[in-house]
Amino acid sequence: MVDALRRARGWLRRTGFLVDLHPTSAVAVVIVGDTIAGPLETGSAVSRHQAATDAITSVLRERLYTKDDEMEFEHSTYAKTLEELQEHIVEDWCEGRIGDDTMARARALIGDAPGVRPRVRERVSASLLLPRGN
Amino acid sequence: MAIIEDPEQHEAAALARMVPSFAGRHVLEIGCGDGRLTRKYARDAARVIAIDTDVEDIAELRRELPFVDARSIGIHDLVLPPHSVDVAIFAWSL
Repeated sequence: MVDALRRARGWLRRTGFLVDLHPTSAVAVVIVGDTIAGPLETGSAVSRHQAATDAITSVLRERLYTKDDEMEFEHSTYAKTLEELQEHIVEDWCEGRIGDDTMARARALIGDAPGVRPRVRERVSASLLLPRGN
Repeated sequence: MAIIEDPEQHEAAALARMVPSFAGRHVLEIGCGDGRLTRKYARDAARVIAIDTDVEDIAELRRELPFVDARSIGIHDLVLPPHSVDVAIFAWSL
């Protein structure tokens, strides 16, 4: 990850900049309406996301970049049904799945609110980095 | 499958805050996938190189945005001239 940031720095113009978007290490959750049904099972995702944050910290410490801006936002993925959401996560997310307990709670919540689309909510970090010494 | 990602447009808002204008800029997007983020800015940029190791995603991106230089390649195999990029975007790819 640090190497990728180093390579990108070499391609950036002096006036250029780098934008990084990556999920934070906060656990993604399944939500029905406004209620959290439970956490998503994400395997090693939390440690990978933490490693991305650490890579940013590392290139800042090495003074390869300076941080000009940063923010966090919520990113939600909606499906029509829980089964559809599960299928999408299993197919597209590395090691992700809705566990049995979370699935059961989400089903109960949907039973109380038919027609509501279930979603997965992640926290995403955005950083704006300026190359130093280019 | 009727999957809807970020209908609240929080990601687009974050990108707009970080990059108020793509006009005239040479952009490199790393980890573009099928172009979910690319399509939000590509028409405004002067040039876009978008890379991802997923061959099917890159094929889809080429079909939808043929003016984007989409390559199924990882960052460590990418060769570009030094100091040729205005904006590098790591799209959920670090």
